[in-house]
Amino acid sequence: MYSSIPKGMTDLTLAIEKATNAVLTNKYNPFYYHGALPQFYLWVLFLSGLLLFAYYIPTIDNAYFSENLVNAWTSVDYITDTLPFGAVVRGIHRYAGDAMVITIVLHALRVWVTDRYRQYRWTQWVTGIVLLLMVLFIGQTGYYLVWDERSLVLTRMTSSALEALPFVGPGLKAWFLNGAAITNLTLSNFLFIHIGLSFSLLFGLWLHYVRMTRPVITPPPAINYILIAVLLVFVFLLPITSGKMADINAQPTSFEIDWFFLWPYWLLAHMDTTMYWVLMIGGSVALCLVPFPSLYKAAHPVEAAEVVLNKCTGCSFCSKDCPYQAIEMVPAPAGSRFKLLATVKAYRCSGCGVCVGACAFDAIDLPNLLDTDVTAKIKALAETK
Amino acid sequence: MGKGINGILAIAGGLLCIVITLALPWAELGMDASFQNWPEWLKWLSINLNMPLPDYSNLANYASEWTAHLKKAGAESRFGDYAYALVMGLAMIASAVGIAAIGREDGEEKTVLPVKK
Repeated sequence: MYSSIPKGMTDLTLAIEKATNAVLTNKYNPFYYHGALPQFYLWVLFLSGLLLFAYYIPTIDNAYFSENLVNAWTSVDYITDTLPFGAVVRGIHRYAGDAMVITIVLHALRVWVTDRYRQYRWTQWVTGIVLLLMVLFIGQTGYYLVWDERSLVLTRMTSSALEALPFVGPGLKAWFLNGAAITNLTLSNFLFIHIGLSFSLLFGLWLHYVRMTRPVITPPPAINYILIAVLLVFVFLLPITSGKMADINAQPTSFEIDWFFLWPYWLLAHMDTTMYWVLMIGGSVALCLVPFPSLYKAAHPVEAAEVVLNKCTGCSFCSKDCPYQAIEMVPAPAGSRFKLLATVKAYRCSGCGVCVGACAFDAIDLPNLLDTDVTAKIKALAETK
Repeated sequence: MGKGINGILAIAGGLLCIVITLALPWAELGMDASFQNWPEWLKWLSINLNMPLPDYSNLANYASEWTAHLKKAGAESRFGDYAYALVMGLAMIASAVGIAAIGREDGEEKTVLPVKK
């Protein structure tokens, strides 16, 4: 049942990739850079965010300028309407966030459809889901920072939802608001979460890449141009604006929703808080567990490569070539003529055979596909032709 | 035949480059590029060195349509910035198409088998 669903989708995905190759060639096929696309938008977000940060004032009401109200909303208003190209930078920041969510989801779908998310790749899947959740939360905090009526509604909904959690709820609410109620300190906290959590994405990305020797993290320039161009066109077509300034004594009832980031609030508004948390936490855990259940076992379990100890010279070619960092060079045992010895971490090995090709001494083999068998098959094929 | 198409494409690409190059300052200068909108140093050069600046007044009718769209979408000021973003976006799309067209040949997979002579 399980294997039949991805198979049809795999064939469809590969057919689309092939058709794209026919037009763009494999050099410019975005399917081959699907993991690099959100990474590119992350750099765009960092750069545009830095420019916005320079002019943003994270307060509800700045006491030092109380005669002429200077606060988060007016600073965003200044960025948008007065600062040269401020509206463009703000639009780029907003649409890059949306684009990052879209590209992450497409990346995850492609990884799932092509069956590249389990066994030796489970770490990448789990860290990827955690990164997606982090990106969603960071995006939501961006909406609080504008401090318009929507920000106020979202802040109140979040603090109420957090408070409803058993045991940790009141503490989380106090952490979220940076106190017992919404004050100037609340927006400082939002800014800290928005920026601090964004930088912690880099640590998450390190975990995401740690088992890959050569991850593709930069698309070619032509694709980068298109990625930026899409943002610029949207900045013109759908300019980003703020709502009315938030009034802490008022109770706004409705707001425009951005489905990329704010869909959890739609759920929160339409269901019981307990059900909301069960759905959100349960859904997140379920996504993380996708690679694990035993019923998802591969039809052909991986047979890890094996090192022929008396032939290994410790040259480390296999270790350098392994795409999954499954081969570690360790000190050779006492009495050996060589300094190092290759060892295979079976749980990381995909059985791809790259190491077999890298070894010039026949010192590494796949148990079910010996070097001699491969040579015999090649010879047989050559003779047939 | 192939060379003829390539020539037509090169001419079309060149014209597109000229249009975009002219549209960028038009957008950046508030979509009319009247003399008072040009940077001070260019105005100084124009006055003192008798160097005429381009006149975009005949393209002002496009500005009214673009401004109307932006106002309807909620933008309040600096409409030229938005227009600049659009023109720059179109320029980048054209650049990407150009880069991909030039690099296409390199991108095609080639299998070269060593043949003993």
